[in-house]
Amino acid sequence: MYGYHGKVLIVNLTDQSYRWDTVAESALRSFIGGIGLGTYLLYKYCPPGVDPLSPDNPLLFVGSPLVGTRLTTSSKFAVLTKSPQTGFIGDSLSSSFLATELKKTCGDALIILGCAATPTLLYIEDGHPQFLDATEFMGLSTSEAERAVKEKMGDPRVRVASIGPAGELLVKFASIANDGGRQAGRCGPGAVMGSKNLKALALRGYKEVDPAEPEAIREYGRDLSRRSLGAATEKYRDLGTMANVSVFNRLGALPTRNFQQSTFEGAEQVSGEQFHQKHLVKNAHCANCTIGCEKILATSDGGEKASGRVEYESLFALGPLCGVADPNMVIRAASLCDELGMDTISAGATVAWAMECFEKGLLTPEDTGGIDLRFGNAEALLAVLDHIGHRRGIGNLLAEGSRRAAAQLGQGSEAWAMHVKGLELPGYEPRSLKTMALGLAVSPRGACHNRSSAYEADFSTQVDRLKVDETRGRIAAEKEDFEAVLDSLIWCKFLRKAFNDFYQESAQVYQMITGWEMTPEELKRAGDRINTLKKLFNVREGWIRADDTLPPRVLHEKLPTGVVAGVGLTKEELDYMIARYYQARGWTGDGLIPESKLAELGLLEYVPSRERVGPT
Amino acid sequence: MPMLEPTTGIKIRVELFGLPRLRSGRREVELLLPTEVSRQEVVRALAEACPALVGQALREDLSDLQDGYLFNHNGTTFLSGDRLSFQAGDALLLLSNQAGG
Repeated sequence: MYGYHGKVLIVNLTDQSYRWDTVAESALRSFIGGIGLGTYLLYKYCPPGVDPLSPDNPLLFVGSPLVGTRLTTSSKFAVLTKSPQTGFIGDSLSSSFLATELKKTCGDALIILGCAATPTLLYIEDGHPQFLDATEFMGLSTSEAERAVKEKMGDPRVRVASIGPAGELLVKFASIANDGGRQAGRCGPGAVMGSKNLKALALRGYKEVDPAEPEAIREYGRDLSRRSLGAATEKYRDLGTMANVSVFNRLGALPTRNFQQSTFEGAEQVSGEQFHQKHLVKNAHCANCTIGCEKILATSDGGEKASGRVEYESLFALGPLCGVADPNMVIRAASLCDELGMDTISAGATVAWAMECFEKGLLTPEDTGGIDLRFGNAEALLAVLDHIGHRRGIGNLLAEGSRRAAAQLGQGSEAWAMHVKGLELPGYEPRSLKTMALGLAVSPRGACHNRSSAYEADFSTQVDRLKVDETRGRIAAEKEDFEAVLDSLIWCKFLRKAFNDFYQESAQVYQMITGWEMTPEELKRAGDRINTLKKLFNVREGWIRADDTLPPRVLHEKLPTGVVAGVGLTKEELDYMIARYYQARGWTGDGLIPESKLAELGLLEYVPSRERVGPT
Repeated sequence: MPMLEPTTGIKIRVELFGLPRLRSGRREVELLLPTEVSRQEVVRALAEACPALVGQALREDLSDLQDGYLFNHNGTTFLSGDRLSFQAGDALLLLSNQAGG
């Protein structure tokens, strides 16, 4: 077999056992790898109705056929689990050399089950797991833990994934850090890892998988690398994603003060241009990447030194969303989240919710331990983030994320808890980006800009971003399918405009790697199949039509400032777009999936008849 | 194609973001343009007013924007097509077409 191992390693932490399960060629072809293969494996190995923080919830690390080919941006892996934030499918991507070790030692995926009796370091060398004591690592930050694990293993080529204090303490939006500070951030996989008493995972492997046509891959790789340095990636290479701040602000699409506004008077101070000129230490690259979108920034004031990666989502969430215009404090906040092991989007959005509660008097200085938790107070932001990561004081409430915190606090605060299905919104204002509004509402993992790139239509001549029309359902579905294929092969999203014909090229690459015939049409269908199976997972976990929605604020308040002043989005408009989306997908008006659709996508063999809840 | 007469027409403001701003050292550029103008005429006027953009956001031959860029009118409408219409005081935003974050 080329490109795949055809098997996955299943490790049970409870009894320290392991086994290999085979994966049929048909499943590999149908779900490709990464997010797609992970969705198939999660559907198969996750018991319906499982508590996300119970031992039975599987935690998956999934590779892809591209891993190991050295094609640009190909060293990526997916992490999947049932999300403790949403109760639905949870998936994250990360990009590091952990991906290559994963493929060398765990087959096509690692599935972790059970719960260790004591804090554990799971070390897997050449396919053989060892269950090592990790008591000495407990309480360490993510970078400290990685260093300590590498020292313990005595092998600098061991690649490490670890959780910080937030994961240990089951902060619902805890991330999994890996290989020098990369993060699998969204949906709370770090909390699931923590619930298994698994502080760290260390991998070392030797089993390379050959591609079917190595010379053709090398030749294609040279051409793609050249294209990856062209105009299609210029923004990412030069300013990185932080360049979004000044543009989004001008267009009225920059969520500010917990989505009360979409422009920020301090945007220039925390713009990509300012960070580039005053804080850039160096550009950095993911493993096997030619683009190099990462910007390593450092503080420049007289305060405590901090440095680290900052990209747009961390910047928006810890800056404008919390009303913070001090770039040094944003760097500190992002670095703190990374060290504690927390998703920056959910962390920032949850603090922003709390700031609004404080300003409205629902939270008092007594509740916050004396912290003046107002918008714009950067010191308060840092203090509260640290409290969350350690579940201290007010941090214990906020560690639950905005949905649960609002449910607990009540008093109407649910109206400004800015999440979809429990996952906090990324930095794209839905009222002024109508296609993205739909993408956020229907995304299976909750409010997400990575599984749906619907915003691309809004930032183009394709649509009028401020109006709703009948095309949005089809556009959103097509964008989701595109992203599903991208995330399954796995390519970097920032490469997407460097392809001459994405599906054509990707089908050729897949064929060169696996030796299996693949057509562009078959790949497109795989995208549809993967998104449909995600939906089926959610339906099995209790999804109802009302889950596909947006926060009340978005549907009831108009934007007050900038070029979009007076622009809103009504529930009727959103429902109209959702109906068009279900129609484009071939689902029922209630968003359920007919058996005929399952048959069309070849999903009947993977979905037991009792779980086919749509009409026949 | 003849160059525009710089003393005729209406004033519009071209706002620069990202790399064009850094490379040119300017946040905005003022242009004098007819109310009805071709896309290429805008590009040529912009090149004359801000030469640092040539080969960066503007194609070397001034036929159009580089592939990675697009125009937005007054912060609301992304512009396609060859004929553009302006009113005095309008803003033309020169933006990267890469919105990923």
